[in-house]
Amino acid sequence: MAATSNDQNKLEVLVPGGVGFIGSHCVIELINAGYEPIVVDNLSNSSIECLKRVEKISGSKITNYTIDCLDLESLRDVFKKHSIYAIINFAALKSVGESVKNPVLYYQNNVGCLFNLLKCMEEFNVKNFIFSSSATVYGTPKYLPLDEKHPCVGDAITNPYGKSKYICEHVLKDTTVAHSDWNIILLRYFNPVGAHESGLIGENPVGTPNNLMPYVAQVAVGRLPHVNVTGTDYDTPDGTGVRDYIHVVDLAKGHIAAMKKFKDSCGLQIYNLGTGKGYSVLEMIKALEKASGKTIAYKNCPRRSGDLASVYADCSLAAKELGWTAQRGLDDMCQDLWRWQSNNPNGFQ
Amino acid sequence: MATSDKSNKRQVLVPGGAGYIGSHCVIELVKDGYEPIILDNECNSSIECIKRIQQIVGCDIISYKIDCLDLESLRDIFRKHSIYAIIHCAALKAVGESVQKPILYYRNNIGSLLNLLTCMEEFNVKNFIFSSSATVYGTPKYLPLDEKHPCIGDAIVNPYGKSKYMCEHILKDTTVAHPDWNIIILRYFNPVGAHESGLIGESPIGKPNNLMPYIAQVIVGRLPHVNIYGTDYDTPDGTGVRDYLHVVDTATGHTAAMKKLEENCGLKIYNLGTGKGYSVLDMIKAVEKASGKTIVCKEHPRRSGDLASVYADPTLAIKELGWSAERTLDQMCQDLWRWQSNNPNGYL
Repeated sequence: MAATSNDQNKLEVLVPGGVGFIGSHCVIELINAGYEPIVVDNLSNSSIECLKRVEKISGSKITNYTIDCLDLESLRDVFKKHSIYAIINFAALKSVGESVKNPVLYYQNNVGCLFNLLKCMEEFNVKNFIFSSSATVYGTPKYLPLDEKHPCVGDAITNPYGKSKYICEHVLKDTTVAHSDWNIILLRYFNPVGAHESGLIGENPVGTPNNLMPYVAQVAVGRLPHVNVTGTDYDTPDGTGVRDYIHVVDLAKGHIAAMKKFKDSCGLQIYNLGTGKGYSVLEMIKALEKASGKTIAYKNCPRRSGDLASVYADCSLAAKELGWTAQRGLDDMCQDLWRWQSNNPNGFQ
Repeated sequence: MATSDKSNKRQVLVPGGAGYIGSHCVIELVKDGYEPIILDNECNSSIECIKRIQQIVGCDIISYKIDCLDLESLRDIFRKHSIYAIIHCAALKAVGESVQKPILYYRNNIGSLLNLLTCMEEFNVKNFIFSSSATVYGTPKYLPLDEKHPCIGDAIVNPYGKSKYMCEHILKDTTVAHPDWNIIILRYFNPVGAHESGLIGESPIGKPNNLMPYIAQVIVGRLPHVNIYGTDYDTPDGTGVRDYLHVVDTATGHTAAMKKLEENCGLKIYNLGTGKGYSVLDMIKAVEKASGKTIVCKEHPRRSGDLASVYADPTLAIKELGWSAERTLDQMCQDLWRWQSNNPNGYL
């Protein structure tokens, strides 16, 4: 029997990390697609204000619990209370630099949360799981574009954040061997940017942003003085690093497309979520200048050790098997980012 | 300096200390003047083992029945005692079971480690010895296996081995963040045998997963015959060759590593093995010799995934720890036989 809520016939989808950047955008798409999201978040890197905005955008109240997935008993309570059809696990710490300084915290959180969710799946007979993975698992590309067959070698991943995702992927693969009736989809994100078109929610990093676009956006609103372009002599068209940026709403829709695969009893599947197109740092800065009408100051800096020249996805598998491709282009990403940042210069505070 | 209240001995926490390898390590720790504190949830060990250890060493051993997955209980131990070092032997170790129960294995083996590391950070403990395994090397690209041999996640075919591989990565990243910590990873080959008293030894629950306890149970009549999987490998007699290390040598390897901690060694990795490989038939003959019994064998085809030969290059431990395996094949078998024949049903 399908797992449904008490009130309606909607399938309940547990969303650990559902108050965060990517999670909140997925919650909106889940509602749009007729599911009932159940949000679980410890708010260690998110703000409850975000959830209020999601309720405003979607026009419905969202069931949510402020709990830590490391608290197994509290997690069990949620599974006892609801009939969970599927889990989309976004809950993780995601700052690469912080992970190098705090590996125990990162592994405990990112890997430990997964263990508890899987344990609850076994105890409560839940069989469907989507995992937020990352292109970092590919390590240094041996070839481009990166397709899902590209090797993922533990030693080639240089930080605990990326390694925690790599470890989670292995745990999930071994889990599907033992549970052949489970469906586990690993989604390897490239670089999610932008925001919901309402401008009401978006990326809200605590402290100095680790990723390019939120950093550029904070320069544009005057919270930071200039962008540091770390490396201008890479083997790329303009010498700056090239990455595959994907609109967060496209990314969220990729999750909904993946949800449809459960009906096919798909077992273990792995998909890149990217655009297949790379943009350089300078191109991204110029695109945000265009969207914002602001001049964005930047400084050329030397390369950072460990950074790569180019990384971008081969997305043909998701296109073929999920019927999904990224629809929003660079201008959409930047306009939506600008709308969010300029309306909310200090994020959710 | 972390010492107990009563004596000047350094307190060494031994999660898994009631288990096969852990119990032998506890004995060596006492001999070397440390005060071991055993933590064990007894899911794969017996309280009787602790009683026998006390008999062997002639003193009481502090022990707690707790699960390392219970972080609060673990914290209580660290509050109560001033821990100098941890020798972490707590893990589930049955390869076949790990394939059927990966979540149990990963959660237990990695979760325990993460909780211990969390306590180390909270209680300012800086010394850690980890029970790793030669399984992290995957399929050997060359022999003997030295510590430089690559360890590739995809080449490890079971969750047990992968959990050890992942723990190693976590420990390596931990030393980057904590340069004042000393973490020694010991990669065991095949520990066998028992303490010479015959009072403690390997006591597997259910059918043994490893060769020697299986052979020992055949001789005492608990199992009908030994199954030999593969008789046409590229080895001298066609059966699989492995590096068997006396469990007491394994334990002294840990106390040798304890001395290394005092040198502020940072991250170190050492094989614990003999460097000598023995085949399945060699081992069967050696146990027959030690026991005076004839062992019935049945030959079978190779098992998928099994390797022809695996043995260690032990020179790094010899050089840097001043440790080498001293006990011979005959001693391994005599000590195994003494344990098994005196305790045909293990600790039960």
